[in-house]
Amino acid sequence: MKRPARIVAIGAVLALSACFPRTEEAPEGIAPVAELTDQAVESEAIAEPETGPKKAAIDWNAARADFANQDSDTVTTQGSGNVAVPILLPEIPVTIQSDGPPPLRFTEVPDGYFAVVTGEAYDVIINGTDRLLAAPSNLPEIDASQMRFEDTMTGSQISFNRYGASYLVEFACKGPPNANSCIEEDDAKQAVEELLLAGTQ
Amino acid sequence: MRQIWWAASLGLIIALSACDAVRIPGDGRAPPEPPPTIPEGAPGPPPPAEPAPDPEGVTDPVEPEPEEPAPLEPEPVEPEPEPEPEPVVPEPEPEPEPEPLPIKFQYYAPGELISGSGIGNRSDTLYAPDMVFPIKDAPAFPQSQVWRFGGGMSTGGQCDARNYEAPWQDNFCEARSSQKRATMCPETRVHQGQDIRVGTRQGCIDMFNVRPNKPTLYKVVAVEDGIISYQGGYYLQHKGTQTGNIYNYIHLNMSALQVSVGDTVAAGQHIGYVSDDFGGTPTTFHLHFEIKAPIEGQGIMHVPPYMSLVRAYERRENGRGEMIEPDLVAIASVPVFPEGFEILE
Repeated sequence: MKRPARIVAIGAVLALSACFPRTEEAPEGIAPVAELTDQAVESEAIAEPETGPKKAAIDWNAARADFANQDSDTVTTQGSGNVAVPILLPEIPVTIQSDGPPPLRFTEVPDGYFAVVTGEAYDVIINGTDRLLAAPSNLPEIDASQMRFEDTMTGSQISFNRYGASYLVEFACKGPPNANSCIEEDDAKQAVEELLLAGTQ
Repeated sequence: MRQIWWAASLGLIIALSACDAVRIPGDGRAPPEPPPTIPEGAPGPPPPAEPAPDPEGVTDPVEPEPEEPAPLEPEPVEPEPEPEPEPVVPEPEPEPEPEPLPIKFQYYAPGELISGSGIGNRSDTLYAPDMVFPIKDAPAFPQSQVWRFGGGMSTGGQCDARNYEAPWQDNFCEARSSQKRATMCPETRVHQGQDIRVGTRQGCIDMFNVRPNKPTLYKVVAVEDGIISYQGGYYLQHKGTQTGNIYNYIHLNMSALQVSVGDTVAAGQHIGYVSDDFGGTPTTFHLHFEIKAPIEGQGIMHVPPYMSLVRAYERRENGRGEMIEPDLVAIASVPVFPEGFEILE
């Protein structure tokens, strides 16, 4: 009877000693450093390139200052006042409403806006967005505030950044496609330089 | 017997050594006097302490010998109650490996253009990772329209059966004669989207035979929730409201569009039909699909749609694409077009 009792006691002592943590217990919810390192290595190995869009930081102060100093009173203010990016539009002459399509169609979207200005030789489509996708590492760094002109299958386009937002102005040629666009690069850039602020937050 | 005698003698000697004196009868000596009685309180060594109670409650009638002190026993430990036996939980069977989805199509790597047709973009970045495939349910074969059968840089007719058996092939950045540029292409004068041949050889013949009417055989659908932002002479433009991307669907049957400018569309919604409209002179029956996306530090630009299309088709088919190596090592080179030769497509 005594021997089994002695064995049980020694076993209990050994068992208790085995229960003591070998290192200081980490606070609840925080993984021990070693585990964290392992996890980091593992997740790095399977990490995929970031492709989800993020939101650009918009410089509303600069946009408001430009809006206040704008030397024009003919541009029509557009948008709800909460459009995600400053609104750039061409100056549209005020016309009497006719049966034809309105000279400017403005649409607010979650990431900004788009607007279509109907013309004779081409229509102008202006897109403004606050979304940004990570640039591939092999693209050369550029001054994105500068206008970049490209011919396209449907006409020409100019992209540029301003106030932190990204803009695309497309010149959609009417008529059959042609080897040459319906608008020259200089004329397209002139048209973009004449865009005015039609709304800020 | 001898051993017993020796043991008895040894025991006797030991027992005698414990005695103060040994009296042998008949030796004439007086018996020893009893020890004097010690009065209570007299100086002297203290009486032995009371024996410790037996921890197990059993009184030991025998005084422990001083030479052999009782071994120290550990403090009595209340034995822990036997733990309730844990209910036997059957070992969970390991999750069976999910059956790999069946291979539904084959494709060449992104940027692997037809040899001699230009230098591609080898990025596998998904610029529209969740998009719906733009063709509702017909088989689809993304491939060059200019360098394959029936194209301006090849022989044969567009309905050649081999066009409908070929693995998928990227043609973003494919060479063009006109000044079309894309920042993501290594060269200038490039194709800014992905051409998708649709259907079957017989479908191609059927579409051809309805001329001069335009076909309504293969449905084109919106790839993302959004708004139809513009209608050109031979295309629709669609602004995605999830990603902010701009999508162009070019060469639709413009006389049978299913949506109008300003319409809100849902991903997968039918918007039109595959055709060959090109503002006058027709092209081959196919969908030219473009994505324009806002790239950090660069601006809004044409991006490669190929891998987004691969993934979207896998979802549509509930299968997977198998990436394969070309039979011949493609030579990434820019062709020299003959004087006056134009590729508008």
